[in-house]
Amino acid sequence: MTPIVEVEGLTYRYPTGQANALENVSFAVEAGQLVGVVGPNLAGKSTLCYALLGLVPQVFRGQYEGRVTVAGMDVNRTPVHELARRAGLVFQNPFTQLSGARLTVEEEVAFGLENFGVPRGEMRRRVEWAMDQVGIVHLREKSPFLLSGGELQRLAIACMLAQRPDVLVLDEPTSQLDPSGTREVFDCIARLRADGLTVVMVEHKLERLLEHADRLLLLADGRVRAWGPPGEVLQSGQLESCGLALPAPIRVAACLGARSASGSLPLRIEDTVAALRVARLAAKAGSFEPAVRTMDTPADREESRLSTSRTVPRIALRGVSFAYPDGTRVFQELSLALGGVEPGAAPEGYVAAGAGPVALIGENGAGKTTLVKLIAGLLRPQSGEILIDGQAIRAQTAAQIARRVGLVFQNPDDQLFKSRALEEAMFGALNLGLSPREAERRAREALERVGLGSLAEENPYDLSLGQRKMLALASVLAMQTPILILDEPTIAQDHPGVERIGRLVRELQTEGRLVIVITHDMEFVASYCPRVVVLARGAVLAAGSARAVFAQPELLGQAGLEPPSTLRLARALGLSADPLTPGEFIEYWTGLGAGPSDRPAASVPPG
Amino acid sequence: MRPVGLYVERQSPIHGLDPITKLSYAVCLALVPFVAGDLRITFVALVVNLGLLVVGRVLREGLLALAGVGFFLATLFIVQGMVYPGNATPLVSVGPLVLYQEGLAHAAWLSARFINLTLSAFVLLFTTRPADLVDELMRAGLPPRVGYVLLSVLQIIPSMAARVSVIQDAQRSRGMETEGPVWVRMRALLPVLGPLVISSLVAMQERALALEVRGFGAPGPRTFYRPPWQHRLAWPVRLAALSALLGALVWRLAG
Repeated sequence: MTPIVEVEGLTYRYPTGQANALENVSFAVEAGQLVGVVGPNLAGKSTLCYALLGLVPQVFRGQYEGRVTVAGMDVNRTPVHELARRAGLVFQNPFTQLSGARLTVEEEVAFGLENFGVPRGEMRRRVEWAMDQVGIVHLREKSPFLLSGGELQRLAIACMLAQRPDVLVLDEPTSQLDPSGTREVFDCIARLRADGLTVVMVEHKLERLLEHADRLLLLADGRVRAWGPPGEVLQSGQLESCGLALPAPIRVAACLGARSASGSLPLRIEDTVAALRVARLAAKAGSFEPAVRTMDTPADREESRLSTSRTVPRIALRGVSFAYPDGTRVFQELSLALGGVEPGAAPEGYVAAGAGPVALIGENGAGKTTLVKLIAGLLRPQSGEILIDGQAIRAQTAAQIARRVGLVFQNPDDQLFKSRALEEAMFGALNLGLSPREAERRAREALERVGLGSLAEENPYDLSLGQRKMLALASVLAMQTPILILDEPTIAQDHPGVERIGRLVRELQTEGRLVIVITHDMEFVASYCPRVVVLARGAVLAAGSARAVFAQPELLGQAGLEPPSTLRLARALGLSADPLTPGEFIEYWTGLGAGPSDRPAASVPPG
Repeated sequence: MRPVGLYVERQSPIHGLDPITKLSYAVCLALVPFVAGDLRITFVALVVNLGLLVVGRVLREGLLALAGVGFFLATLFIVQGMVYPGNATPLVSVGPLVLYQEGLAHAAWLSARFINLTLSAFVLLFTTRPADLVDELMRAGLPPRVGYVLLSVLQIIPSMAARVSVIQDAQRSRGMETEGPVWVRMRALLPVLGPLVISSLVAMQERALALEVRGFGAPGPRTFYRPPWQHRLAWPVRLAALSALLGALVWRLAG
């Protein structure tokens, strides 16, 4: 079959670049295939996306060698608007993909079709179809500027789908989405592939990608490190050597030496289940010895040792009600205790999360960011009281509250404005009234902790998005607040970055600081946050230990969430324990002995 | 996020009229007093405009907005009352200041025309979404690039205003005080403007790329998702407005 996308010896350097962004990249995609592009930060993944649509080199200019053809068109010789009739690109940031000139969602979807002169009747059919494919029909009359991050991402995909491309290129389309939104996007892609669409998809969520991809392209430093069927790429060991984390079920299979029938690592959770069953039978026959017995320690077993229970919660919300000026009600009589007080010891009427780092989880629009803005004094409740260490914050300005509550926003570009990373990291500490010398000492220390010690003199806007997020975190860390809130800290971070943040959460906990993390990353929660608050439509569905909450799949389903994949693996195997991390699963599994119904000698403690 | 402009979301016969007809009306009625040069005609035009604001259910908003220019009109009366070249008949004296009848009459004439012009614009602006107006102008031949610039400015200004609030929150959470005396607020300006300008430039570049892949540079005629705005009174209203303007001209020439 003739490839629909061919990349031959592509080497490219941006006009201001010191090194090649892409170096001798070659691969070919056949029609109807889904190619997953993976790699650490700064690997050249987004540049490759631009190259497939001709933006590199036509718009960006720079040094370009090699040849890229898409749907038979040489991208270097065909105008971008011609290429765009056959290929679509969904950018990483859905907001900047909006035309900015349309009042409603359906008009936004139609924008590209208007430019291409598609007749109105055909346009209407395509707009309906595209909105239906991504589940945004109910938003048709809404202003695109009022959509949530997840809704915006689906709108961006619908805009491209409406153009009916043969090839769809997606640059991290699920980075802003909650688990259910991510699942919807992948389901949507699967449906479109059934209709013959060819997809090239940059994605950090490897577990999902492995389920759907026909080929995997691993890039690092602009070079192809591995290319081929996912099983082969996985087997090559290149993913780990490039600093990527294997999905938890695959790590489990790898550590336990479980293989699929073909002898390769299982790609999907059901393959892992089958492989582990076979391995268990082999163990019964005495011919199998697990490769590794321990890997990591789940959050609650590590942290519960360190946490001390208090009688006064660090943060208490007492009967808090809040609605936005447009009338959108978020919270009604919410009473919640965070930090210290155990669920059983909470005052009457309160829901308590307990001691240790707390994860705020819930689908897009559940009220997570609104809740932390109330705690930080950036929003004021219409009724009720918010207390920090027993003191009401009603009379304090947000800047005064910031002495006790540090809030790191999701988008670092909302904060950064200095020309040196060090000055940026000092900004918060100087606002507290510290001397420049002390502020610099703290800033340097904070930069070291987030791994930017050697980049203190760099301009923040020369750093990658992941590094800018670390810088914003450092600037709040330097304020040394007893409470630290992180809003989606793992987005845009590669695996080493996620691990660094996880370690930091643990360190801050040992220093006696309360850390609250808003995240959609359930693997991160399982590893680093022993306490969880589940929000759905402004109500607390559950609060308490992560293990106890994750053990309730129906409740998580109501909140649009999924348990960590290790737990899903355990459920699929019919295990009676609730392992949250690969290490814990392996510990349980190796202690399980011969029979599937046997209990291990030392079972995993319930949550 | 509040859209830019004076548009008031209501259901009314004026809201239902197409933007081009309302634009034609507003231009003609604003010009009528200047062409006719007669206070009585101006008065009639004022009454018609006020009547349409009533029918459009936006009279209250119109009068409130008009009150906003009250200071300018008061200044006009004082200045003209004092220094109008034809001043001869003193009418009011306040201390050393004397206001003359001729100057005040001239100010009244200027104000009437100004108010009429403003109310004519209100009939259009309070009942028409800016985006609808630009859309219809593009359909009538305005170049798409000009139309896009107008539309995106209308949309992006309120989105930037919303972004200012997000950036302020982000800096307040790093201990930056934004409440209090003027100097405190002034000091907070750079940490807000810096991220706003930088991120706007980055967003502009990304949006330009996105527009490319959405066929913005495609040659050939473009189409419109929304059907053309049709109203049975569109042409009668346009003709009536034009007739009023021609009538004013005849009045002027005959008078």
